[in-house]
Amino acid sequence: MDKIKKVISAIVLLTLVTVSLNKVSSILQLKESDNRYAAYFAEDARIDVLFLGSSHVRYTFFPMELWNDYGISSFNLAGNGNTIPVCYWTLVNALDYQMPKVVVMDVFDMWPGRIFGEVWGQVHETFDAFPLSINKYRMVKDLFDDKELKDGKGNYIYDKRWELLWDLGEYHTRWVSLEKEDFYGQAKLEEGSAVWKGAYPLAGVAKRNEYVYLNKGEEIYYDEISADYLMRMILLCKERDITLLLINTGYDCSDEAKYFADSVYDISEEYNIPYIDFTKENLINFESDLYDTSDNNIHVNFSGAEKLTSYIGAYLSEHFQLQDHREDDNYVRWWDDYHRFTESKKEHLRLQGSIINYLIFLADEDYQTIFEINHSDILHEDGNAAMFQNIGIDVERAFHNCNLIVLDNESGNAEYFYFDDSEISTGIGEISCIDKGAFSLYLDKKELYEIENKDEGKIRITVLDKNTGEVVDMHIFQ
Amino acid sequence: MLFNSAEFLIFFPIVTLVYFIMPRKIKPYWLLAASYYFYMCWNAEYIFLILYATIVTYVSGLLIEKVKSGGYQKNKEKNLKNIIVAGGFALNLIVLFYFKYFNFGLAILTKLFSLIKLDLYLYVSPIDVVLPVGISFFTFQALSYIMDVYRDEICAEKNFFQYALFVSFFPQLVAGPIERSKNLLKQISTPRPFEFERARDGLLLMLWGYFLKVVLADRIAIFVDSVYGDLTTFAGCYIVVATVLFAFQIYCDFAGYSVIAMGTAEILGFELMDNFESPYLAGSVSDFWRRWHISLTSWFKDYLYIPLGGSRKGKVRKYINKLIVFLVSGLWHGASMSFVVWGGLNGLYQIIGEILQPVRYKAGTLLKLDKESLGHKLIRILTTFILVDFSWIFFRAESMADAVKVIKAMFTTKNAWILFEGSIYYCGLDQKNFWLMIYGIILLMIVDFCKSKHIAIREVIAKQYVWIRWLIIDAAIIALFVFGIWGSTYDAANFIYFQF
Repeated sequence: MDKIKKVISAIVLLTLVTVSLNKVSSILQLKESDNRYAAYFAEDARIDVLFLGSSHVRYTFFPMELWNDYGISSFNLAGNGNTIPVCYWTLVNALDYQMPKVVVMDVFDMWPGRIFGEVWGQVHETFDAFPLSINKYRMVKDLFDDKELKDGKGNYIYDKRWELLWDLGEYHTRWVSLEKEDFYGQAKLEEGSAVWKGAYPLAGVAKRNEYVYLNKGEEIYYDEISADYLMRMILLCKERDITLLLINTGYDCSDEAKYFADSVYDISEEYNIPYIDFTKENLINFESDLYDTSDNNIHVNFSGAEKLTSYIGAYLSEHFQLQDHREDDNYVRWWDDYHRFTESKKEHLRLQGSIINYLIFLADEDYQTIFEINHSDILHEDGNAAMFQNIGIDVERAFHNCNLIVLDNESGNAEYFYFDDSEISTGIGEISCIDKGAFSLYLDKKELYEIENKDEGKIRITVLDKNTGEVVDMHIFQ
Repeated sequence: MLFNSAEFLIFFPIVTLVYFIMPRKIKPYWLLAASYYFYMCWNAEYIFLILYATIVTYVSGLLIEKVKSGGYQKNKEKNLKNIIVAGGFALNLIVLFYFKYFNFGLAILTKLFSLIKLDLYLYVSPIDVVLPVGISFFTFQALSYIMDVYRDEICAEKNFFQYALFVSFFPQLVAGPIERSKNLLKQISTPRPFEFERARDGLLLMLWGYFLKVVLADRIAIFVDSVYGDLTTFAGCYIVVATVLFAFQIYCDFAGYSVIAMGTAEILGFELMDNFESPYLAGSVSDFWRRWHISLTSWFKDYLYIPLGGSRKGKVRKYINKLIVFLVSGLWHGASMSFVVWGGLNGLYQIIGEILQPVRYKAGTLLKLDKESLGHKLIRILTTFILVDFSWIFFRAESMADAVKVIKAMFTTKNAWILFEGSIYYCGLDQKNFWLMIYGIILLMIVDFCKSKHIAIREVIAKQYVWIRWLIIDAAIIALFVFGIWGSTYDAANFIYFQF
């Protein structure tokens, strides 16, 4: 009897330690990965389309826009710095939880010949959210079992590879910097990540003058590691009856990556896999839609992403037999997610401090916008013209004899007025104002805002929700 | 294999489980295999050094035993035994010398020969070998066996494998405690069955050892290494703080290992000697050395100090013997002049302390000092700590020149304000980590104080309700994982004492 008691005691202690360690581990874990992907593992409804790739995919394709426009259920499992080998194992692991009909895979090879990108933390960001499983173990064994493998700083990876399976080793020192978010439960993380479903918008503009590939020298080689893992992915998709759609988002890249991207045409033909090279399509505005133009690392900003999302949505809808789930009872929660998604977009808009970034987030079909211009030179300041034109405003026309523009963001139709405090009729309603001590602007007799001085700021932008008519934001730029 | 490695956390439970499952007769063989594997994880080839030391001392023991029962005349018997002991020592020490002291000896000789303009390096080159981990420990343990057989304290062990386990028992193989044959051999030949309470106590000991190592020693190391690594940026008070902290680093590092070793052995049913008895609560340097690295200090006392004559041959000889012991102890710790100076300094402290004792006694009587008062005790503890801590500068330094540089940088810069305006948090540890370290040291001192008052914390815990015990163990394990310095954010530092 005494022996049994002791054995039970030991088992209880062991259980207590295991549970405590697990709880502590989840608190200390960096939440970046869960913030992106937690919802994927909690999703009961079928996800039809999976996006895989590096940051170029993560910042480009917004699953919730595809949902709203086409009823496509999708998730963006791309991660910063992901190589093709990492993408392959992301897919292997992802298939443990969902069986998509289409996998959209970016073949843009930012890191030719490398197993993973330069930053080890990015591998954690990709895989931390994946629960412990045999396939996760296989991923570690396959990718990181090489003793000579190093990250971009020259640090060896071998000794810390198992921390992908048990990340307390990586994160236990985070006790010094724990925040409120770290104590949120898994449910809250799942709820949070369901909003963007792995994707994320970038705010910022970089203008690229030339549409050329960077010349990295004479040595061009066929990247066998990437090709090998791409082949494994093709076979895996074939085996699981998944349609693979290959894309190349590398708007600017090294010769090696370009060489590889071009060579994908052969693979595409041989295996009868559709392949879209975005670099050869005229889809984005190179003056307003790029986030950065640093060496070998061009991403699209929110504006560019909306365009490419729209394009891929149309393509998916047209070429694959994807079901429209918008009326499907199993997907009711997706409408909640979509509502939170639009709220999140509005929040991003409100948070922008510069007019350029603000105009990036105005490149959204969900809005109608009223621009009140006090100083028309703002239209030309610091590259603003390109941004105004990007959302459909004719800057030259607006510059002369115009102080009010009404824009329907969806169609890009802009109306130009000279507003002299009398009531005017626009495509979105009657606009009027009262200027007695304080200045108030009205749309169809409903007050949009009130300010002390009607001359305040160079431009005032009032954004309205197209569907509800509510004022999303009123921003004054000096 | 390090105690604070994932490999050990897998290795030890497997070894323990199999050990208690297998038949009693073959238990020692299993432990021997495990011990050899443990050592070979570090360097497989060097296992032959352990095997060599084992064979030499095993045969020496048998020969001494044979001589004892050979019916020789007393004188002849003594001579023969002496020859065997000398041979056994020589054969072991020559290996130790080759790996540890050859280059050091050569450097000294080269300096001496340079006085007569002879370049010794033209004839003899320094050797390029990796110092075998724990060679000083297992060599000394094996040598003590010969002496114990020689002194009739034990009979020679007939079973080679059991003796081989005595030399290589993995918990204390690479950093002690240096066990005595009369304690360990008996335990090896009579393995104990599994006992829940003993395993629990061993686990608690291990947890405490891990706390000392991964929470304290490795955390302090970050601060100390930052300061000592950049003496131009961190001078003056930075070095004072780092030097005080180094005293705790080396204590936590070494005691941590010893305690893990004791806990590991206890789970397996073995009792190892305690290596530390609250050393920083010592009231004199002599007292410190009775509490610090007890297994080595007592080794030197039994096998060097007493054979040299101890205190039996007059005061001057006693002082000389003491100095010899501490100089050798310094050399045992490392083949460098700074270790010799460290040992010498500790020897000198004690000699001066003894010489000045009558003066101190008189001064105390004149000033009517109450030796039992708390203030008096605290001053003695503090003075001892300062003296010992100063000597640690030489222990830590790579060379004498480095030690001098540290001392110079400590006294030439005045910057006491760094203790108050936050600069101290830029020496590798941020504010939270710095204070965690301080709280840890306070906890250590409380535990040491309890130990000095014969309050065993483990017994206190064992008396609690079972759920309180669970919570304590659970919290301790979680604390180790969270606050310990381990994983990819840190390259697990070797235990300092592995190099000896």
